[in-house]
Amino acid sequence: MLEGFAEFAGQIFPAVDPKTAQKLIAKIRTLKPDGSWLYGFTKDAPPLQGDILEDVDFSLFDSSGVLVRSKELGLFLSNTCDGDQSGEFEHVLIAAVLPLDGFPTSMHQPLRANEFTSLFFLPGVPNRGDMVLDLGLVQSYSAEAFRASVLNGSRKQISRLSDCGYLMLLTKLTAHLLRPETDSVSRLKVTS
Amino acid sequence: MFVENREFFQPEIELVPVEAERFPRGEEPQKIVRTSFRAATVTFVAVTALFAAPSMHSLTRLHARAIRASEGTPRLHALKHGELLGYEHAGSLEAPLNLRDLARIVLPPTRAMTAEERQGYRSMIASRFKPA
Repeated sequence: MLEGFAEFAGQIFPAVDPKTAQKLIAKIRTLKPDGSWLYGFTKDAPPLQGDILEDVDFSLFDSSGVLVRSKELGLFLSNTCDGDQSGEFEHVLIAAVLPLDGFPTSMHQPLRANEFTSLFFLPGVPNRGDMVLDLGLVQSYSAEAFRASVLNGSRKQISRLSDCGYLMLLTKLTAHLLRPETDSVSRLKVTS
Repeated sequence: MFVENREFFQPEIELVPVEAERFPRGEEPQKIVRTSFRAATVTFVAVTALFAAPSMHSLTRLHARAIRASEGTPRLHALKHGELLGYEHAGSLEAPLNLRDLARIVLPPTRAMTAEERQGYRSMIASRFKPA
């Protein structure tokens, strides 16, 4: 698959100098990336955007209007500076991270391919295995309380995204939250 | 067609005239963003392909989608924190990219769940979330 991609990459980047494209293709063939490239644990003061933490309480109103709760892994979705100690932001957002095995088997392939708009595949999360970030399951927390729980260790940090993983997350957030509306959407036009 | 409003970009981004010979398919934009590949870039491109477009069919759809998306400048603006628009280190791989190319790289094709998939998703959520 990767070999095929390398050849195809040279075709879909017409702006790239052909010689450079060849170098890129050769590099991709050499590097053989895998899911481990998405993570890179550091000891910097948490939390950073994209950090994955355990024991995060999520609650939602289900299709019957009943309030339901679950404790799941959570990904720190807010920008890093929203969670720092400046106190500028009162709340931060945490998105649920669910095990791939919990999804129906028929969904595994499209999940791995990131075909679903609101779901982001996280392959090989350290010590947890394949997980799925659900951007439709987001919880607000007090920034102060959440930061304290991470710093004092009561909420354990499972993993941190590498530069590469962080770029992937930004890509997903962009594709999910900033995708253009379809042509069927009708909005009031400002005429003057 | 392409973005020329500099306020959307990091200061280190340089907009330069197009070198027409770099666009053999007749898709000449008026400006390109000069940036460069480095190891992290290659990583990103490769991993994107690995997880977002595992088949040639998906890559083709990614291509088509990105052409449409490239006209939406705020989408690319949102990526600037990831340095995607401003690689500083030349390394051994250098190449000019235009915004359309960047969009092709970073925007995976997506779709809504089918009715069957949605039912499966709901069942999974129901099995994990219990009344408070």
